[in-house]
Amino acid sequence: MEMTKFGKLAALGLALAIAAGCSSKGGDSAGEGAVDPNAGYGANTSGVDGNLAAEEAALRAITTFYFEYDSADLKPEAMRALDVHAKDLKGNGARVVLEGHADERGTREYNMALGERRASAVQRYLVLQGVSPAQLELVSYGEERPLVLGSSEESWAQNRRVELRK
Amino acid sequence: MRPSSQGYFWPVLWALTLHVLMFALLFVSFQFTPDLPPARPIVKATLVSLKSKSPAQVQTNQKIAGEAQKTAAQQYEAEQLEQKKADDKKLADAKKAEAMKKQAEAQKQAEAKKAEAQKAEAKKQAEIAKKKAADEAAKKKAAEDAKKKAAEEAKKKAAAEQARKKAAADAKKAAEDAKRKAQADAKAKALAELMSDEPQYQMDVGDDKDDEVTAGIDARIVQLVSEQWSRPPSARNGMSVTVLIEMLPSGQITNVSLVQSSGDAAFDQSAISAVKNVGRIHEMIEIDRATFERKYRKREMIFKPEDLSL
Amino acid sequence: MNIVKSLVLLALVWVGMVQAADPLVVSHGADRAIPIAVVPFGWQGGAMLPEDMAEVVGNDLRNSGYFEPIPRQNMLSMPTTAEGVFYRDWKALGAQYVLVGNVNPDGGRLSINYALFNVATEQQMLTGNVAGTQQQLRDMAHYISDQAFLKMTGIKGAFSTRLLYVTAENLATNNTRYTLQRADYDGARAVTLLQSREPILSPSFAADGKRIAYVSFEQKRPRIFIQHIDTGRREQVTNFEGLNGAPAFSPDGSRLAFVLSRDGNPEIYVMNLATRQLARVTNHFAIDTEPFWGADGQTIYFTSDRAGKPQIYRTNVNGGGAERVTFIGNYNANPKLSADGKTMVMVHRQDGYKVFQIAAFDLQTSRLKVLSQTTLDESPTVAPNGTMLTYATRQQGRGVLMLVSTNGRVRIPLPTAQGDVREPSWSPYLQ
Repeated sequence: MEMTKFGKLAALGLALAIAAGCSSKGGDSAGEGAVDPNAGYGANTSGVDGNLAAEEAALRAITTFYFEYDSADLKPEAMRALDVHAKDLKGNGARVVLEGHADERGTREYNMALGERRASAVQRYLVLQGVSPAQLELVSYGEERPLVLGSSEESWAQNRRVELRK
Repeated sequence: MRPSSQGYFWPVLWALTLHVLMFALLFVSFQFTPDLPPARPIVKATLVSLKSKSPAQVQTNQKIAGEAQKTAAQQYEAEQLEQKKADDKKLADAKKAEAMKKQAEAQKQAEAKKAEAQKAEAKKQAEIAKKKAADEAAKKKAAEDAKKKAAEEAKKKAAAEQARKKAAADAKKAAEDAKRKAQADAKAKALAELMSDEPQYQMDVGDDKDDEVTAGIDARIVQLVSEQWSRPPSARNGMSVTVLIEMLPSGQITNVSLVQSSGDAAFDQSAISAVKNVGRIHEMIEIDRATFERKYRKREMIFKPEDLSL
Repeated sequence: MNIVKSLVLLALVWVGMVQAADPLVVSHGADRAIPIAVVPFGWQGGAMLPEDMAEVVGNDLRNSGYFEPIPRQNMLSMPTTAEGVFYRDWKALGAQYVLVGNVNPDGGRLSINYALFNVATEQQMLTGNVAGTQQQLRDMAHYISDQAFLKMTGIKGAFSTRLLYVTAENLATNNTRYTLQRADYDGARAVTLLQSREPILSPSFAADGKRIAYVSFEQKRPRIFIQHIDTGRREQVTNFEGLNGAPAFSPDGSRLAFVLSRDGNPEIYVMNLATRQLARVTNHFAIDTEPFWGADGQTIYFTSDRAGKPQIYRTNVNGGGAERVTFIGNYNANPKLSADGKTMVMVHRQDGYKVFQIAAFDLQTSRLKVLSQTTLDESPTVAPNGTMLTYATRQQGRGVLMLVSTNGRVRIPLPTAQGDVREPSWSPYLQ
């Protein structure tokens, strides 16, 4: 138990570190997965100042969380949305499924594992916010259920994701 | 490849040993060895390979054989058959027609002679073979040597040694490899004299030329086989298989057999197929009969890839 | 004195041979495709046969990478029996081999006589007969190819083997039809073994060629099934939380290796199929997946990203340490071994590159050879004789299967049905 607790703390620490270092990292990661589908949401929400309820509603609407290539690290905008979902889940005790996905690059079974790793990252974050693990089920579809077809950076960026499904 | 100073020691020792062994055989083995006609075993191999051919092949052969003059001697028939096939091809080939015809006629004449006086011919052949075999041992590397002059000088010194037993002292003064050649020549010639009634000294130039020709033929055979060699996926650099090639004087390859397997059946087969698929070494007609018997009637070939990517 | 003379002569001939026995050394090969004439088969019946036998045989031999069939229009004659073969005709064309065949009606069945000739040696190498129904014409053609290939190369032919693969056809948004197909190795005669609205992946054969294992999402979760091809009978093998994936039969068919994430992250397990007893093979916080059995039934090769990027490792099936196998390239995954255990093919990304290709890797020398030239190549699978392999790639946005000869000479797309085609898996030799 101690070890898993430590692991969760470590994951949180890592997530925060990435959040902090994100702006400087942005330029470097241009090589793979340069397109960030979440970027638009972030701009919108920060633009609306003061109307907390509206911002929460906008974040609640975000149920798909995107990832960098071969990575399961949560992005800061994803964490903000997950904070809202965590609050809701703690309140209503509902069960949700976390569907992990990968882009088409790499082998199918490795991508199955990668999809699950991404779903696990979301699960760990929600549990750290106080959601019961029993409310969260993981399933990975690997690269089998792409959101967008095509072999471009744009398509791949949208397919590397975790979907929160009620 | 080999340093020339080492190049002659073992061949000479080998030749010496064998000749001594041969000499000893003269006194020992004839008591229990039947009197075999010299060329017989080789011809037998030819006939066996013909027999094993397919009905289609036999049919083709018979068609050609029907035109040919048959003789009582099986050997003659087999080689005549082979010759006839060569003639066939020659007719189709306008360019080489003239040269081939001459060649064929020369061979026909030789064979006719042989039929007339086979014993005499055999004796003659034997003597030529004998001389060439003896000289070959000594002269094998001479053709490759750029310094022919040094070799000639060494030979003279060798003759001197034979006469005066002072050659050793003289040879010491000469360059290291020249000395080796001198010793090789001297010993081989001494042996040749022992084995033959009339000592021969005048074959040198011809032999050098022979070696040049056979070096060219060797390279040609390797080239032809390389072109036919398709390696299986299991083949790796450094694997090695040795096969024995059996050939007719026309250059027709009659049999290929495994001598030393690589341990990989597909790899072995790839080597055998490569040789078989060459079919015929046309350049073999440039080789005189004695050299053919000595070097090409049966010849081993090692397949050892160095160019594979895995 | 005659005896003595003869002996001396014999001895000298022998000595001469020994002295001349400097063997010739061949150190290079052309690995060229050998020209073969596969003459259109004769047919002694009425209506035209539904299959062009010579074309099937010629394509088989070409696909191996060893042979190049001579175009029909160049043939000077078209014999159908041994008696009609005149070597001169074929020498003129540069043909190294000639294969002829003749199909005869035999009751309700068909009987084929065939013969193979070596033009250089002017020898008949092979003659035989094969019989079957009209529906088995392709089987008979592949059989003849197998016999001829063995005779010419010493390698057992793999033209009578089969492929499994998965198709995905997008019918509408959120409506995709997945099928599991079995076809001839050349993609012909595909048969649907399973159809589903949910993904199917990772099909593979057992060594008996009768059972297959795969992952199906039909229960909305990935679960492993074993299906008996002939009867269609299915059994669900796993029902664990999390990932259930990458099934692989042991060489003796008694065990199944696969991946489970029930302990928190993907690990490789082995199940005894008779007792259903489960044993964990790997134990690492990284991803361990895509197990493949070594021929010894003891070693398992697998993909792991324990060093940061996916690489191939091997371990004993009874556990213990894992040994890293690949060090060249920044992504190596999905290992498949050739039957002789010499070569491993895998998905490979070269250092400094972002494209995925298929590579062959020599397990002894660690030398590597890239076999494919496109950018999204995956799922390599090797013919049981190692001469050919098939992999999945994308062409104009569509998933297709490519067949390549191991020597790299042949690369052809396999004819396949609608939709995305993926995840080929080669059968063992079949009876």
